[in-house]
Amino acid sequence: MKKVMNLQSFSIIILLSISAFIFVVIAQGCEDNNKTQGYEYAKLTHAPEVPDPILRSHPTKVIVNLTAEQVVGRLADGVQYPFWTFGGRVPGKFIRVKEGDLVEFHLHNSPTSTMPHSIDLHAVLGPGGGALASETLPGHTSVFSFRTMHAGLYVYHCATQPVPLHIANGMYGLILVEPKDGLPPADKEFYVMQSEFYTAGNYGNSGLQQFSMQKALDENPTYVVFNGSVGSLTGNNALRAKVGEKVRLYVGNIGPNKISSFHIIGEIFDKVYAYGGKLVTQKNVQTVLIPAGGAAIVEFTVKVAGTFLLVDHSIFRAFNKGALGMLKVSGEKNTDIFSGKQADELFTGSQQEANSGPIDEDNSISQNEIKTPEFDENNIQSIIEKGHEVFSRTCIACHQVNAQGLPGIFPPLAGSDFLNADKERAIGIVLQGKKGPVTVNGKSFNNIMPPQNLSDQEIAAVLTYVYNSFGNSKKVVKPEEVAKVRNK
Amino acid sequence: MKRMFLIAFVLGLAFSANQLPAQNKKILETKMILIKGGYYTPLYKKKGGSKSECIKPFYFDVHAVTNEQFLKFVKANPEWRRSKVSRIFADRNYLKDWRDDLIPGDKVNPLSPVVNVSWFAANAYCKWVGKRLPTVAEWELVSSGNFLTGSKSVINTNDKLIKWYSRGLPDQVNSIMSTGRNKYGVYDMFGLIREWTYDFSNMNINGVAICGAGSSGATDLTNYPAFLRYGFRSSLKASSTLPNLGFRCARDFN
Repeated sequence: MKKVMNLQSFSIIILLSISAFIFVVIAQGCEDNNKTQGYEYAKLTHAPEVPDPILRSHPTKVIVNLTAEQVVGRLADGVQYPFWTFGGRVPGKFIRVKEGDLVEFHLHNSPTSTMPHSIDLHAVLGPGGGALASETLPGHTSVFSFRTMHAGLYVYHCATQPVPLHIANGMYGLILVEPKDGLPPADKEFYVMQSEFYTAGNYGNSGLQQFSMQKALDENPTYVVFNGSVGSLTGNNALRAKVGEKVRLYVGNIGPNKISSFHIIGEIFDKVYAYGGKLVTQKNVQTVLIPAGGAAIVEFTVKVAGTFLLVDHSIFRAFNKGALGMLKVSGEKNTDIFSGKQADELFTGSQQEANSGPIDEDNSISQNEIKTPEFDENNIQSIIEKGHEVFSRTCIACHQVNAQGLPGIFPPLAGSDFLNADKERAIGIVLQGKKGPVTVNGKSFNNIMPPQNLSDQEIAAVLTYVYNSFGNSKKVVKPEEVAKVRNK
Repeated sequence: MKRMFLIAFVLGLAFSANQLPAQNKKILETKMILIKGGYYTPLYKKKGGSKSECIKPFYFDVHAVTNEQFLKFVKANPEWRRSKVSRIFADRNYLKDWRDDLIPGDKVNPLSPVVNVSWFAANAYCKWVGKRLPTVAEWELVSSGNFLTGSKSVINTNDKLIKWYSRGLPDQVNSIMSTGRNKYGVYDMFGLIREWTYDFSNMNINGVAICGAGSSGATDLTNYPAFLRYGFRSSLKASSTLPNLGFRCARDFN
């Protein structure tokens, strides 16, 4: 009897083992792309950099380490501010994860902090977006986990009392939850975040600035900036791309008070993921509204070389409060799409009528048929032609078509003793402008010429053109000579 | 007079129990000021309570407890020495700037407020000298003595306080009584350290102290320094120690 029992149980065990084996084989045979597998550490980036796209197709546990730090930093040239940050700079570091990931968030608060900090991630489903779970004393670390349920671009910010002050002092950033299938590839990706600063001193007042409660209450920011400071995206810090590249911007706006009307001068957004959501909601958009505590993804392919300005089109903010960035695009000019200035002619008011009749189709010349000759830097004729082009778009407004100037207002360049006497001085004036009294051909002038935003090659060409025209001394100006003066 | 006698009696008990030399008495005696009490408007009113709370008269230390004073305490009470203290009562940063259990070291100014002390330690110290920790209401009432009246001045004072709260940690905390006294005659309510209060842990009303919710039910929405203190206190545990957190003591009037 006992033996039979044993036999029975033995066969049951065998049977169970076989079915378990089969189950394991099946489970391993097809890869489950919805199952959380393994773990990895998130690589976070400072603005304007964005972490690389996520190539894996399955969800994983992503460990995020972010540190709250209080640092004194640059708000504008000569202006410092005691920033409260995530990761040592404003805006906070960019976090990139994927839909379905389990994020294990480690919020550290620097031992040198003077107060607790926390984080509310708008990508979190749960009370406070993680705020209470992450309330962290100086010199401590809090850990909490959340599942990324919804793809999109989300703002995060500190949520410790008083929240508006923690935000106004710089504690915010973006977290991107990529959709399961990822985003379409882009050639360049950048992180841009708009925010306001409320300082006791006026815009540009130098030294260490402090928070102004009254200005914040009045919602009257002293500074409105991209990526935490005036000039963070201009000059040498400009974003860069090449003609033909697809550019994707992850744009956030924390406020704390204002809504952004994000626009790039000279560009049209091919695609907009409004509010940072999962869908392309609109194509061919000029300006995107980004609410305080919201975001948007914009994409566009740059077609023309040149500098494109990122602005909040609430334009006084761009002009007077710092909301200005640059995208420098290198490559072909592409005159088919944009010609640059082709003419500057006198307009008396009567031409409009003269030209307003129907155009004779046979005589009309399409812009596309105008052939721009290739520029040859060793050919004097080519240089002079280029100089003429620069002269036509830049100089003739004041110095006039035949370089004769305007008596008593703008000095002549034609047969000018002042011009012919000193080539280096002439280069300097084009570069830096000229202000105050000057005597040309015995007549005195007192006006202002602004500095000209031209390349070395353009300045060399235009000066060579002027020196070789209008009865001048036939000097030749080389780009190297311009560079020498520029770098003085 | 009766009060003085009482203090002497309590201190005497403490000294005799721990065999403390008599010359230490002077160091331990911090001058106290009688605060008449009055109405205090808490940042968050208690459920069902009125907007203002009546505060009974109390005595309040004119300055925070110093390193020198705290050293006497740990000498007399071995269980509060750094190497002895239980992790339940103080985290691992307890007195971390001191060189050794009974040697603060050259880098620690004897006349600076003691910092890196837990609520348990602060509470034990106050008991030992016959006092208690002040309540949040008492502390806030005394701190109002730093405010000028008039809404414009309040904004300016708030800006100054936020400036101080925003500043990084100093290399060394200044000596007590170095930031001036307020209209109650009390020193250093701001400008040196944050201070423990007896009832710090009751701060978190309804467990919701986040974001916009943090302002619902608050009595003064523009008093950001008060929100800062509120946020600070509500994230503390009784065993927490921080390099900018010390304490002073109070005592009932009766």
